[in-house]
Parts: sequence; C-alpha cells; structure tokens
Amino acid sequence: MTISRREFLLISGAVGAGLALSKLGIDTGPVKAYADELKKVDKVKSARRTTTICPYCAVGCGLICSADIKAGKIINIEGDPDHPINEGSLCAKGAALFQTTANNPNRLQKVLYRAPHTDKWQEKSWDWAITEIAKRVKSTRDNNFIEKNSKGEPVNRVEAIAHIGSAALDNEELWPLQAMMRALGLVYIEHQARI
Amino acid sequence: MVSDETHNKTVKSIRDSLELIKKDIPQLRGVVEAFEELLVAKSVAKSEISTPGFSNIEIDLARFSQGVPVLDDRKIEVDRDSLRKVALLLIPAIKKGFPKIDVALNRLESFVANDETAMEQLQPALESGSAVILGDMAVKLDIPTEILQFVCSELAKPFAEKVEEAIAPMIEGLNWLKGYCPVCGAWPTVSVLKGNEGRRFLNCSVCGHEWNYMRTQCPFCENTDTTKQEIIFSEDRKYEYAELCHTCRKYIVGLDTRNLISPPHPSTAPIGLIYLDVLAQERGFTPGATVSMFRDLTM
Repeated sequence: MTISRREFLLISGAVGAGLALSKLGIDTGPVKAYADELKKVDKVKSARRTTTICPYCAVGCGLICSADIKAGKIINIEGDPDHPINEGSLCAKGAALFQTTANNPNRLQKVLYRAPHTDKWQEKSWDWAITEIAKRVKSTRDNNFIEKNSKGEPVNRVEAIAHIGSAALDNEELWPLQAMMRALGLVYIEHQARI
Repeated sequence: MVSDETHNKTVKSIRDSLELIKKDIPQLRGVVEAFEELLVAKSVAKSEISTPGFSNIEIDLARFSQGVPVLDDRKIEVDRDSLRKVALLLIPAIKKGFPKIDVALNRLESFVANDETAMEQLQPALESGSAVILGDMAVKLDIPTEILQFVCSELAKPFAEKVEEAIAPMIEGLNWLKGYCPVCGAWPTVSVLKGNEGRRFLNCSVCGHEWNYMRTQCPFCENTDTTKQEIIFSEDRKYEYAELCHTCRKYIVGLDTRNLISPPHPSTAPIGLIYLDVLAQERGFTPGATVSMFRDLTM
C-alpha cells in the first residue's frame, strides 16, 4: 500500500479536526480545576521577552530579557542563542546583568555620603550630591591647574583628578564625558571594561 | 529494528516521565493514565516494524532551503501486515487508557484480528485520509467516526517515526528556518529549551522530529515582533510555559530542560503541560499543531 506524504499527514492529522479528549471519555475536569486554582491564587504569570544587546564591552552580545507584564519588572536576563555573536553564551559580567536590575535588594536607591575621617554613612539628596561634586571638582581643578610644565611649555592640565569610565557607558554618553574631562584639563582618563 | 536494551530504556523513560507528572501534579493523573499504555505501545510498535520504503531519497537542497519538507511528494510504502501488527498492538493499549470507548474499540479490534480483508478495507481510508471515507468506514463498522479517526491517526505515527529516523541523518546540519517539520511538514506540539545556551528545539506532532528554531519567533506565523508575543507560566513551575502569539492567536507549550535533573521523554512532555493548554485556550488561543489532542479543553 502506498501513501503520499500529504495523505499520510491527513491520516495523522485526522484527529485534529476538532476531536476533544472528552469525546474519548476522558474527564478533563481535574486539569481545569488545577488551572483554575493557579489563577485563583494568582500563580499564573505573564511575561514578555525583548531582545537587546549587552551594555558592557564592545563585543555586543545578544540578550533575551523577560519582563513580568503586570508587575513591569525584569524577571530574567539570559544570552540569546540565536544571536550570531555570542550564540547564547555570556561572560561572567554579562551573566550577572540581572543583578543590576531593580530586583537586586542590595542595589543602592539613594545617595550615601561618607565624610572624611568617619566610618558613618549619611543619606543625602541627589541635588546635594551633584552640587557637592561640582564644587569639589572646581576647587580641586582651580587649586591644581598646571599652565606650564618645568620647561615652560604651555600644557593647561590637571593632574589632581582622574576619571574612570564604566564599561556600561555607550558611545553617546562617552562623547560628552570625554569632552567635559578634556575641557577641565584632565589627562588621567581611563576606562574599565571587565571589572 | 532497535535493540532490546534501547527499547527497554525508551519504555522506562516514558514510564518514569509519566510517573513524575502524576507525582508532581496529581490532578493530571487521569490524562496521564489515559495515554500511558498507548505511548508505551507505540514505542513497542516502532521497535517491531521495519522502516517503510519511500521513493526519491535524495534530498533536493534547493527545494529544501526554500522550505519544502523532505517528504513533500514522496511515496511511503506501508505493508498491510505491519499495519495489522501495529493495529493489534495499539488498539488494546487504547482500550486500557480509554475504557469508556471500549465497545467501539472491541469491535474494531475484532474486525482487524478476524477479518482477513480488514486492512484491505481500511486501505482507502488510510490512503486518502479523507474524512468522508473514514466516516463511511465508521458507519460500516458501526463505531463513531471520531474513534476511527483517533485510532487511524495513532496507527500512522509509528510509521512516521520510522521514516523520520531514516531521514533525520540526511538533513543533519542543513539549515531549516521554518516552524513546520523539515521531514514531514507537520506543525510542532512542544518547544524545548536545551543546552547551556538554551537553544530552542521544536518537536514534530506527527513524526517526532526535532529541529532548532529561533527563540523569539512564532513557529506558526513567523512573527518576530516580541511586543505581540507573550509567555504564560505558573510561578511554581517556571520551566513550563505556553508561548502565545497575538498575531496569529496560536500558541505552543514549552519546557526549559536546562535545570532539570532528568528531562522527560519528548512524547510525554505535552501531557505534563496540558494545564497550560487550558490556560491558553481560556484566553482564546488555539494550539498551533493541527493534530493536537489537547484542543477544545475549555468546552
């Protein structure tokens, strides 16, 4: 007996024409009750996945980020197995990305300030912190600005301040940062990619 | 033919997987027990038949790369003796799992066992797959059409799986980007995440073939817009989920096996995920696989 693929599928798929388990005498009541119970106790969660790129180094690994739709919170971040660069793999830092989300209970939410010669942290506002940083940067720069080197050549630089950029910075953030630091006269400008 | 050792391992894996489902979610016991003997019998049947002959076994790479499944227009030769053998293995197993339809099944079993011309008479229905011919045959045998359809569809599967075993090595390593099976062209019933990287594999509802498919693409409409996709899962069983597509309103159940000590046998996975079928169907989504037994669960 010879059957073509199309017919073969029709036979295999004949059951798909609307045959329900109940028509074969199977009681699906307990299964429905289990599903109902999950809903009643709010155990059924709904999530949406988004593909994105790891913000750290220049390799640009692909990620799949899942977020709880109702809570609006990220619930999982993992490597994207279909991304041509990393094929699902992530370095230790990329694999720990989930810890940088709002789910990390140890993540600082407010500015903490520790004054010189003390071991106590004080909670401060963002306005206070930004104003204080600006004040101290200006004072350090003004007090340490070097116009000429030992040979009398003009250098216009500041050696008392160093800047280190985060690996999570993107190009758009890096350009104004670099411009600002150069304008201040900084020469110690460094970047860390894998700390 | 497969060795006894391999076959015993398969049967043990099926039974162990089903036992675990019953232990984890006792509410699924009824459905699990309905399919247990059938799944084991299909595995036995598969080990006892030889691969059906099929024509033009050379793969047409040009057609294949365009999304034409290998078996698209090939002929599959199934001999009547093998078909009878499979029928006599499967029908008693179905009777054990589905006792409420045993009158019809007894009638069908007796017909296959005692009537020399049974397979000859069933042949037009099997060859054509036509609902009308199946209906006529059901009337002749005085059994409900749905039951004959169910039995016929199950009879075809061991042969489909045998063909898959022969074809799978021929297409290994070839790129296949479609959501339907590269071997037989049927839709998948379950999506499984495997390996450290969590690659997604779809499992064919007819021949059981497994192929890699994009994680964030709907297999049924190829939609890649993730804002139109949704995953639902139970908070207590995060590794089991249903992927819903808001574009085509279809869904597929899935299992993340990455952290499981012993991943279930692929044939048992859809049974353990049936509660997700209920949740998805209650929201108006339909299973993407046309051969899914688990449709109309909310009726």
